[in-house]
Amino acid sequence: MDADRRKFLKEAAMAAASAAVIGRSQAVHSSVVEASQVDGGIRWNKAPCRFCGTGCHVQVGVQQGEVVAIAGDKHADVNKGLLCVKGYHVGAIMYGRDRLTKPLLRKGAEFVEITWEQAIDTIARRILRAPEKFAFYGSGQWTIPEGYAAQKFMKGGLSNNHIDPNARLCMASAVTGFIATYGVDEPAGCYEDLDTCDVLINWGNNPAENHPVLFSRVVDRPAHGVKGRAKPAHVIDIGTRRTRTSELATEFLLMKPHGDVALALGIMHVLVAENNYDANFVEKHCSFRAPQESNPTLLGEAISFDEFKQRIAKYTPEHAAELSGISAAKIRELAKLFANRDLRITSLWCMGMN
Amino acid sequence: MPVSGLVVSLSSEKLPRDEALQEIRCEPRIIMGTLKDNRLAIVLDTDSQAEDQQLWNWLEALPGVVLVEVAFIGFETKQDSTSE
Repeated sequence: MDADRRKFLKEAAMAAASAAVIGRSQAVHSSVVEASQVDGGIRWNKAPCRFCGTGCHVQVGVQQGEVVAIAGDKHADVNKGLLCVKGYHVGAIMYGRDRLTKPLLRKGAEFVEITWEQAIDTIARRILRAPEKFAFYGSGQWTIPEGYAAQKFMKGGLSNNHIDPNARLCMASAVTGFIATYGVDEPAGCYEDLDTCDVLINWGNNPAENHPVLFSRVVDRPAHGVKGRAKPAHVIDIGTRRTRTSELATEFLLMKPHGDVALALGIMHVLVAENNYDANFVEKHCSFRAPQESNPTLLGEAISFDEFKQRIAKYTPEHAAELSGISAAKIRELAKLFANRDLRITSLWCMGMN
Repeated sequence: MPVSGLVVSLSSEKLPRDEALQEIRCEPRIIMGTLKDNRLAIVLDTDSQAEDQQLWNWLEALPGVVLVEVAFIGFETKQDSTSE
């Protein structure tokens, strides 16, 4: 890298970092400000970071057909000019030495390079020989058109149901939870909740490492220009193991595996027992379900609120403490937080903003 | 030889924050920039991505450092550069 270019990049890097610190977009070096702008031989364009579900906006610097720089897009509400360590790699991974760029066919113990035509012919022949034995493992990161095309190919083209994405292990469980709880597949919150909540409770979630850009909106509010409730949130990290999130949380509660359900039931028990809940809201907007006595299904069967109260009666703080590993006193404290209607509480469970 | 513009969020507690700042100040591969509201702009100037990553890990491990975020990365390693 020649000295002039290096000097240019250092200036651009410092300008971008300083702008993020100061919080004034005008301070950003012009070469990282606007998409499609050419500066110092680098053309800047915009792209999403595909590494996680946060959806950070990235500015990508291209020179002579290669990506040579990336920066957070200061115009983006999601990440406000910043990226995490995943964003650091989003441009460079395209040039990783072990990246697969040509089709390879296993012959014995070796992988032999073949042409794209040979690869497509080989795949097509093998599928047509036994279409019922062909399976497709897709991805939650594929685009909607890609997922649609894959479904059509498998189910419409091959009359084959062997298709599944990695979402089965991730979002599918959340989808089930949302539909069962809210009747719709949508998290009941948005990123702005992270800016303004008074209390953030992580239920086995590790946002400091999984979604750092989102977590920084909680721990670093003044820097993100949050007005009004700029004071730091009280972060309660509940998990079966300590993580980087635990180090940054206000308090950490060690939980037994599967203890989260018992904990939630214990909290609900206290709220009901102390009559410390919004009865009007419950009457108007809540319906209750429970597993059937025999052949229980995921959605269960409808029960009344009185029956619900009877079912959670046994989950006293002491019993919930035994099941969850979290003390009865702490369960009562958590219930007190939820009972306080002046507090804005956001919960993050499993992974991501759910 | 990547060039990284990072934002380091520091602890609100004075002692670990000051100690972290001192450590960062003494690291010759780091150029310190603006410090405001416990956030510090820095530039890492290293010879390789591996060294850059190692420095990043060192920063994150400092007791007075809360978060490290990326503002800008210019990457071109010696191995990848066609001009050398």
